[in-house]
Amino acid sequence: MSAPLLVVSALTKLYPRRRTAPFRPPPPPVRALAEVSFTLAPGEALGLVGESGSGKSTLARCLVGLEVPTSGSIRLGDEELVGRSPRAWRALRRRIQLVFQDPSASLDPRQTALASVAEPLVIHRLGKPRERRVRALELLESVGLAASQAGHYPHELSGGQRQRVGIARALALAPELLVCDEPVSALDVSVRAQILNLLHELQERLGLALFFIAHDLAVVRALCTRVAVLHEGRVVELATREELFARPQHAYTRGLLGSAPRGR
Amino acid sequence: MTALLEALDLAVELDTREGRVPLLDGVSFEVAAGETLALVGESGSGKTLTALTVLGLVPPPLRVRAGRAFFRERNLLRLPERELRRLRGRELAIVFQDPLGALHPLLTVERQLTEVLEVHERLTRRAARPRAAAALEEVGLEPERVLAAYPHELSGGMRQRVAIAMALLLRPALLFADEPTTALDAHLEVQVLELLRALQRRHGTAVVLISHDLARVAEFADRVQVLYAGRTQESAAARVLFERPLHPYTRGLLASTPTLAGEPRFPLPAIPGQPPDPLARPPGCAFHPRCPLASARCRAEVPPLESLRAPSDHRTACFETPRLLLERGA
Repeated sequence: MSAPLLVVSALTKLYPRRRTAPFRPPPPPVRALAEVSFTLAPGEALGLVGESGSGKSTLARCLVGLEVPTSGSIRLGDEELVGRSPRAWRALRRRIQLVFQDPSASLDPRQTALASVAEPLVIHRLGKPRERRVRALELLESVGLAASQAGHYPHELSGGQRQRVGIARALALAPELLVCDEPVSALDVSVRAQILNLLHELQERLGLALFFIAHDLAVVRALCTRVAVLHEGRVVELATREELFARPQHAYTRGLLGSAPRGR
Repeated sequence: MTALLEALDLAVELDTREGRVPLLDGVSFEVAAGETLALVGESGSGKTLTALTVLGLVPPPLRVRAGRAFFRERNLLRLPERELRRLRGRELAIVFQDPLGALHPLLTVERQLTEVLEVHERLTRRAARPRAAAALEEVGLEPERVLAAYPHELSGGMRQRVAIAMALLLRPALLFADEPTTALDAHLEVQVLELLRALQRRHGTAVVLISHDLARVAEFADRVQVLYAGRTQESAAARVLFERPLHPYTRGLLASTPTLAGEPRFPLPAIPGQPPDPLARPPGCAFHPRCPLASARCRAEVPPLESLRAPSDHRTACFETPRLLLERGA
């Protein structure tokens, strides 16, 4: 196996709590992530499942620098991400990008699809305006949006189209790793498979690595070749797809599998 | 089987400057005592609007244009507001997706439950308390702990249980559950659905379960009715619909939903396009722009909802049904 793209070691995130009464010591901090460790190979799709409150989104936010871990390390290639300045993060974001759950909340309502996708290029001063425009149109096309939709504002697009814009924007800086935090759970059921197909196609075509977070086990099973299970901030199980779904080891994983809708 | 509620040709429209837009276009359904009917659809399909219409809760500027809904031989759509209000709560109840919206944030659980009994059964607060406690016990909550709590002190699963306890407090004959588990994690989802089923068996309550998740409701419903763009596309016994769907939309939905069975293979079968904007639905069969079988006729005419041969109560609205049946028969 090639050298891993991402190495997460003993990542811990504590949220301190306020004291409940004067002179009394504050209650112990909330442990959102506890000693989380895993690796991700270039071009690999790694899934992360867990229920709400398990720490999934905290982990995603730590990976892209929106949250500062309390301790531990995240290495992307040969660069350490923990403890980097906001300025350093700006450069790092060219390599690692986040796709949000709800594109109607993450896109600027006053920006057209084209402007949203071109914005990262503007921020990073990549190319001339005309080149940015061409590149943004290419990106929109690569996620299945027509040139005629480039001038649309988010409210003029459907949920699935907005998520396509979100993905195109995340791809603008040609990252090596895409962190996807529940990218299909806010979409209409009949549109979800389209977006999963798009993510899979991008992974294959661009050699993109995916860190795919979801609460829906069947969706993770479709897309990811390895799966980590997060429970109360800990990775309680990490296995290949075949192993995890055929022989779940941890009681919590078995519970999760037991409450998923059964297949036909 | 006699229906407890029989709704016929419900039609709701929106008045706009450009004219009247139909949002619900001739939806009929029936549900018998002790039965669970699932209304399944995506956003904009009209599944919630169907329930609101029957309950007389359609908010302006929407307007009920036509339809009848017979409950105990009375047409709910013609009932004076006073009588309808008496029925709601006592005989007809609804549980919403977000229990926070249904619970008063400044009142304890005890106060919210006892108030229902004070208003509808004219009990004193003291007499109502044991009933409230029993209702909480029935949904698996500890009354001593929960009665004194405010909604924000409870978890999402506990809040939904309180909302269900409140809805069932007066032993309604019919309960609408509008995406009651969408805000909950999978294991809580199963618990809440199982709870609904147990209460239903015990009391013979009829349940209309409204959901976007076809695979999930198929496990809990007796019958399933699939809505798309304000019309019924297919309805059948849950197992029949799940195992032998006929309508191309139902088939597409089931095929495109990843499951825990079989080998995942890309590309996943997907339905192209997206559900139509309720204000700009396509003419003819509203599914035709996304349908692999669409013909010129589908673009021009609305296919009627027709029954397959008796004794099956499988109904579907598609011009291609005869061909699909032949293919399946082979």
